Amino acid sequence: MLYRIAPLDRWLMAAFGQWLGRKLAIVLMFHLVCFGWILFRASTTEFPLVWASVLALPQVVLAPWPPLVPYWDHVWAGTAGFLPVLAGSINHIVVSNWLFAVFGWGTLLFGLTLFLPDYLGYRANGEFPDRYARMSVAARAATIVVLVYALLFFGRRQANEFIYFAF
Amino acid sequence: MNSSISRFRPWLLALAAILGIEAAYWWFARPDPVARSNFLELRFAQPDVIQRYFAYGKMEELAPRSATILHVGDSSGFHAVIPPVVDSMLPGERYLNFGIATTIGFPGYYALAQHMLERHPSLHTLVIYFSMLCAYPQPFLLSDNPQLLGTDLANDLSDPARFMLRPPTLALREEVTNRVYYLNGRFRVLDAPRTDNSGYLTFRSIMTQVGGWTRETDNPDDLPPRNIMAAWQALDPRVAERTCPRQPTTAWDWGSFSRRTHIDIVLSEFADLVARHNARLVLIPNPIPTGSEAFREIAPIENEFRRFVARRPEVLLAPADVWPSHRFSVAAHVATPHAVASSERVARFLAAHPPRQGRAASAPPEPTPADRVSISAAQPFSGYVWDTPDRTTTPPSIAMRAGRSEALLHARVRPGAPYRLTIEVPPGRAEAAREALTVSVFGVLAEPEATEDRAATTLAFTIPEAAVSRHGGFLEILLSLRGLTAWPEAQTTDRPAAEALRVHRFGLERQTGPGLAALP
Repeated sequence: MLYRIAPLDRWLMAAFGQWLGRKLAIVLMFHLVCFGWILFRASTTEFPLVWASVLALPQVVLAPWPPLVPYWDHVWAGTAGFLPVLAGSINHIVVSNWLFAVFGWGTLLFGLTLFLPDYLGYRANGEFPDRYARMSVAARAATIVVLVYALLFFGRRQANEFIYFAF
Repeated sequence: MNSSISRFRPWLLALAAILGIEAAYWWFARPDPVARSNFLELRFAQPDVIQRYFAYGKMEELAPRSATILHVGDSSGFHAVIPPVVDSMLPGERYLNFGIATTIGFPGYYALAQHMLERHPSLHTLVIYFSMLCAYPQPFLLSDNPQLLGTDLANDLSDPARFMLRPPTLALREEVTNRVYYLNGRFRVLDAPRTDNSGYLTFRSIMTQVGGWTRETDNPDDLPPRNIMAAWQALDPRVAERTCPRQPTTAWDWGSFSRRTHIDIVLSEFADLVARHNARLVLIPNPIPTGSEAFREIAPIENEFRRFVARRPEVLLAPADVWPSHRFSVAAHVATPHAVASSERVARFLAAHPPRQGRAASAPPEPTPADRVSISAAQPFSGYVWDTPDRTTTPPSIAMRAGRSEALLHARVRPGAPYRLTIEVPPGRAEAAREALTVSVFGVLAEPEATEDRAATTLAFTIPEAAVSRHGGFLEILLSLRGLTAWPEAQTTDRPAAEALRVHRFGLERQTGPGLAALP
């Protein structure tokens, strides 16, 4: 109900224009929903730990950058190649934040299964089934095959506790 | 009509593609039925319960092997019965130890037994090896307990409906998830062990060579002496009664329209199963430590077992022997130095009750053991009374635990010849080790090799052929700093830490040459 009292999306669009304001509103809403999930799932003992972890995130992301600056100065000066420095930088960031990188990859991987169909539906001005209905027979068959094997290989073998039983 | 069919065209096309993929994979790879498994959870960055790895490790390595005697049951037998020792006392037999853990439960033991009996007609004896203290058939270990891994095992191995959900490419599941979850080896080495749990790594280092046995690792060095009943004493009496009922539990049986004990119901199912496969059922309880009767009177349970075998005389029941408590690691686990004696106990019982006429055994072949074994201190190995490796030395080293005078080392080699045992020690430690160390195998002294160079860092001993061959190449090498050739009944911790033996590497090499048996 907060958005009715404080329509942040409209304020952002008014301040930054229709295009940028809309994108910022999407990002903001995404993070509000994520925060809501933390409130929904975490116990009172877990919440401070999760929140401390969230607050530590900017430091974790930014800390590996300073040692990389001299390398990028060489790239901008044209004395070092862009791709080798990029590869080295990624490697440095991954090694410096091993757990963040591993679980970041996991989040990306599992988030992709939600994001991709949503994005395809969004591009079709509807939802994924609308997009699916307009695909060729071969593309639909390929989609089914991919989904069957994704379930076969990555489906969880253990039943998940229904979320509302968490309370 | 056409439009209704055309709606299903993508599904039909997908079905055809899937059938084609599965048929092609099956044709080229011929995956083992066990590999087509949903048993492992394989979650992202989260290991499974350790018993799941033990169970699956045994299934994938041992299920394809033929045997004549199959052992299923809890961890008491997993750690107490060494198949080559049993085989050496039962000519013509091949014993396979599929004991895993109590958490598998009787549905899991049944599923394993059924799978193996259907797969290997050579099996003539099914041994259920269990602890009489708690791990007999009772509700906690039966199918109404959703925490039992055995339910998953039964679903995976013996449920024909679920078999349809296990296409051949399911065998690729672990490799696919490893490659995708861990970015093709970036976040985890592709062929890394499933877990870095030390017990699991020890299991992987010895289990396949010795037909399923692994030493007890719950209590790594079994000292200082402790009250092995302490865990039960500390248990809430209500929890103790629920997990270990004092009297045989019962259930209503619609088949006989009467109440029957779970022991009767469950064992009858096993007896019927083996009868369908022209085999026999043998029930072997683990020895019981002295003092346990103060906390758990087993007579009512043992009597119910006796009543069962009186009703089903084709089933054999071994006595629940009582052993001194210092031979145990925990109440239900025989300590490692007594696993050979425990295996001999099983072999003696089976030798005294040979299979009926017509089922005379001819031992199926097993993988040929190695002629050369190298055991590095940097890698987990099957041994006893060794401290955690010291990785600050180059190469890493491992020492006998402080205060101890004896340690054990296990290996499996091809029998029929003497073996040269080499022990690489750090510089400066060789002379003292050479002076103090005695090496023996099953009471037979290994002859130390004379050397001119007293500072040489490799100590060498010759293990006689008789000791090597005594248990089919299974070696329990005793290293003693006080000249013992048998594990002491009463262990002591009176040796100063500084005198402990430190080792970089052990090596075993088959010896041939003048006067020695030629290699076949």
